[in-house]
Amino acid sequence: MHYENRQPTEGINVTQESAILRAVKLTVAALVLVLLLFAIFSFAGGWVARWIPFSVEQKVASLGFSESPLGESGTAPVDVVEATVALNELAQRVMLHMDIPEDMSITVHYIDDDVINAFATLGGHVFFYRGLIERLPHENALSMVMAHEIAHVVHRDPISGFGGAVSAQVLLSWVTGGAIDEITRFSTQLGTASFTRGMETRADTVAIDAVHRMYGHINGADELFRALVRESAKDPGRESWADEFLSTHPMNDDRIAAIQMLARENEWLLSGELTPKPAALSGGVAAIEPQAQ
Amino acid sequence: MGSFIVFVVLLLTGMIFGKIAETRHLKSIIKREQQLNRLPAVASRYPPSGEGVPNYQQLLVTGNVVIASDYFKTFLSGLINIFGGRVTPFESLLDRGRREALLRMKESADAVNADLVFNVKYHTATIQQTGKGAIEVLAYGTALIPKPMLTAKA
Amino acid sequence: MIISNLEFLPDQKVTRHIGLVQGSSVRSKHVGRDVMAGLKNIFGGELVGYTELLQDSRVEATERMIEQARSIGADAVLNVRFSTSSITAGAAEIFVYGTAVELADHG
Repeated sequence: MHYENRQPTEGINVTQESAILRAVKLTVAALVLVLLLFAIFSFAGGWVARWIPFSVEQKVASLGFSESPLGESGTAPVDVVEATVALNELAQRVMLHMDIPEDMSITVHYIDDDVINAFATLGGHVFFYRGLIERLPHENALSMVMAHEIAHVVHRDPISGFGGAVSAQVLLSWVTGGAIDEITRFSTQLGTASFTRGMETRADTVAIDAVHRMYGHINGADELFRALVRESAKDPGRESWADEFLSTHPMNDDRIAAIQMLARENEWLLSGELTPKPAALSGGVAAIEPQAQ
Repeated sequence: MGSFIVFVVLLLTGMIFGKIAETRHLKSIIKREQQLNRLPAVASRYPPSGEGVPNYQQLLVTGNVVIASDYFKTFLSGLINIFGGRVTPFESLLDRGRREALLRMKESADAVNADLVFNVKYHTATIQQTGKGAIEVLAYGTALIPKPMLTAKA
Repeated sequence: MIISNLEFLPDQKVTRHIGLVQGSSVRSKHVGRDVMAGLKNIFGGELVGYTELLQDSRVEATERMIEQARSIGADAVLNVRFSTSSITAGAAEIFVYGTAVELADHG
């Protein structure tokens, strides 16, 4: 018997390919996959969350903040109490002109802060900042914002946004092995950040309809957006709040145009008498003169 | 962001140094293989016997090596795991491990002036946690040493 | 003592198979080695410390197998095989086993 070792050709057991190219391709593919899954999870989570009964949503919300807009202790300052009562009274009047499911209730909270914002969150809780109220010159504008936020609650937008954020967070923490803490922080902010533009547009449409039914005209309804445009023009350096607001809301000019188009289609009156704000809400720097439309 | 930069640096380090180490290792393997081809190692179980075959003494010889994957290979294999397919970064790692282990076995057989190594077997094991990627390859076989030479050595 | 992974010895006659003998060695590397190994997992390359450790383990396991064989009066251990299993992240067991036999012309 003859024994020898001959040298086989190199590279038969090793695939010849560019590892870097493959790494780049796979990284892109993995990112696309994660983004796709993220979108699917957000959408599915949001869709499923709409089926959660409102009573359950209220219980979940009560874990996060007090049911009473005046706080448990009842030590709130007099002006805060008065403003809160006035806001809730306005909410009740606006709701008379909207289709509200029977089991649904709205609780309005007043926040004594100069932030120009209002938002709806879980359990039918709507938050109004003093800064926004002060910059709205009349009740018509305030009712528009109120109807807009109530429309979010009616459409189940807060729970849907929350459900989408939670399921997307579950996905991401699974993909990253729980490494991303920012996501956790993001999704625990149950505020306005998780509404889509579609939700905002729909809320606008419902709100303008409610305002028309309430006052018989829509004069002053778009005042919020005009005020926002004015504010950002007045102080272009300090745009943080405006950026934050605009990043999720359709552009103010677009919303003004959309409202006017809706009014034209429905032959709504664009002009009419403006109603002054309730006394408890009329304080502060609200120095914007009502403009005839 | 900081952890991402660390990740990219590790990835590049692994890519560059891993490639250099691999190329150098493969070159050394090929060179030593050509030298040691004069000492055949085979997987046959039955040693030569009969007329004209020298009287052999036998000795169990082994060769082993532990090779670590680099950061880039480990990352790439993780990516490939998502989509499936040929895990090419580990093909070359295993190839080098097997050939290095066999070479070391042959070297120890050569040190006792063996003519042949018979019944060669490979044994591959993963070391450390999965995913980190280090393998041990053991090659072993029976070295056949012509009898007078063994006594001379001893 | 002849140790071989062949199933027979070409020039000697096996008279008796006297059982399975085995040797085992479980070893772990110290923390410093693990740190070095962690670094090597970035750069790639041989983990020399681990190579040596496993080789030492294998020598010890083989010695233990030989001791077992000697204790039952064997002349050789044939068809020897190695196996490795990792017990925990840090420790590995090396296992060697084979058939202990008596040979015709070995007293």
